[in-house]
Amino acid sequence: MFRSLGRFVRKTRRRDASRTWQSFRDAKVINPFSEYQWTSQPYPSYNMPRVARDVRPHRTLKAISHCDEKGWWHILDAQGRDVGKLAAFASRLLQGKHRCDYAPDRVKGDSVIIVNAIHVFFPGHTWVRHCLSSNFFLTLLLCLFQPHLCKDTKIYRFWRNRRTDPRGAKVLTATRLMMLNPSIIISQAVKGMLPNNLLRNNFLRRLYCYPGAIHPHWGMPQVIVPVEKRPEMIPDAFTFEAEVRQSE
Amino acid sequence: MYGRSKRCFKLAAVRVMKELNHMYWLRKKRRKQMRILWITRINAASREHGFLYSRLISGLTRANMAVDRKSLCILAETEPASFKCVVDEAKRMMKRETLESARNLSRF
Repeated sequence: MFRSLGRFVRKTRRRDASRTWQSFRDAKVINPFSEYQWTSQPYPSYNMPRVARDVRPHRTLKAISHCDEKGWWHILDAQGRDVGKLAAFASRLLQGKHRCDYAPDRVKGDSVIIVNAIHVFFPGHTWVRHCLSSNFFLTLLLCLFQPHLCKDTKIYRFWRNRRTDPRGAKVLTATRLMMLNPSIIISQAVKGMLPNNLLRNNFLRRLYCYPGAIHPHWGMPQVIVPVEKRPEMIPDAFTFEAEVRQSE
Repeated sequence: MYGRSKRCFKLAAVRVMKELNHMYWLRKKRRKQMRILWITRINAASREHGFLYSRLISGLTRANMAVDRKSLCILAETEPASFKCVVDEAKRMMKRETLESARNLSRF
C-alpha cells in the first residue's frame, strides 16, 4: 500500500506556476474550477496520534501538577478547550505569576506540558468546522445562509529574513497549519501572550506541546482518565477453584 | 554606553546627559515598579488561599487594617501563617457584605 505519491514524483523544476500542489504529501494538483478550494486533507490514519487502548472518553478539569528535582511540571489537557484561554493559563504558569517569589527579571516559572493539542478548539469563525466539512449538504446550507462561517479567516505569518528576502512572509491559514503541525497553534498563542522580552525564549523552552494524548516525559504522570462506573460483574455459578475445593 | 560613545568625548557627553536624565525619573519609577512587584506577589499569594488581590485590599480597608503592600508581600513570603490570618480577616469582611448585598440599598 503506497503512502503518498509526492515522494515518488520526479523532482524537476516546476515550470508551470498554475500547477500548484495541494500539499507536500500528495502530488494532487489544485483544480481552480472545482467546487471546493483549499480543503484540508486529513492526516493519513497511520500518522494520526494514537490513544491508549484502555482509555475511555474523558475531560480533565484541573491541571495535573508534579514536583520533580527540576521543578514543578503541569500537564494540561487541551481536548475541547479554547486556544486563547488555555494559552493564557499556560503563559501565567510559565512566567511564575502564581508563585509568591515572582521576579520579572528571572525565569522562575514552572514547566508546562500540553497534551491533545490536535483536539483544541478555535472559537468563532476562525476555521471551517471539521465535522461539517465532511457532509456535503450541510456545508452547502452553511455556505448559503452563513457564508462567514465557511472561511478560515485566521492567518499566521512566518518571516524568513524579514527585510532582505523579496518573497516576503510565509502566510498560512489556521486550517492549513493545523494540518501541517497542530501543536504550533498553541505554542504560537502562548508565545504571543508571554512578555515580549529576552526571557520569552527561555519561557518557551519550558513549554512542551504534543498533538497526541500521551507525552514522552519519563516520571511524569499522564492525563488521568476518570473511571466510568462499570456494570456489576455477575460471578460465575461455576468456578474451577470451588470445584477443586469441594473435591478435596 | 557602547561603541564610540564609550571612547569619544563628544558623543559620551551626550549619553551622559541622557543617563543623568534617566537616573532622575528612574528613581521615581523605581518606587512604582516596587509597588507593582509587591502587588503581583500578594496577588499570587492570596490566590493560593482562594482570594483575589482586589478583594483582599477592599476587605482590609473595610476591616480598618492599614497594612501596606510592602509588609504584606514580606508576610506572604516569610510568614505564611500570619498572611493566612490577614486573608481570613479580609474574607470575613467581604463575606458579611455578600450576605447582605442582595437587597441592601444603603450604599446608593
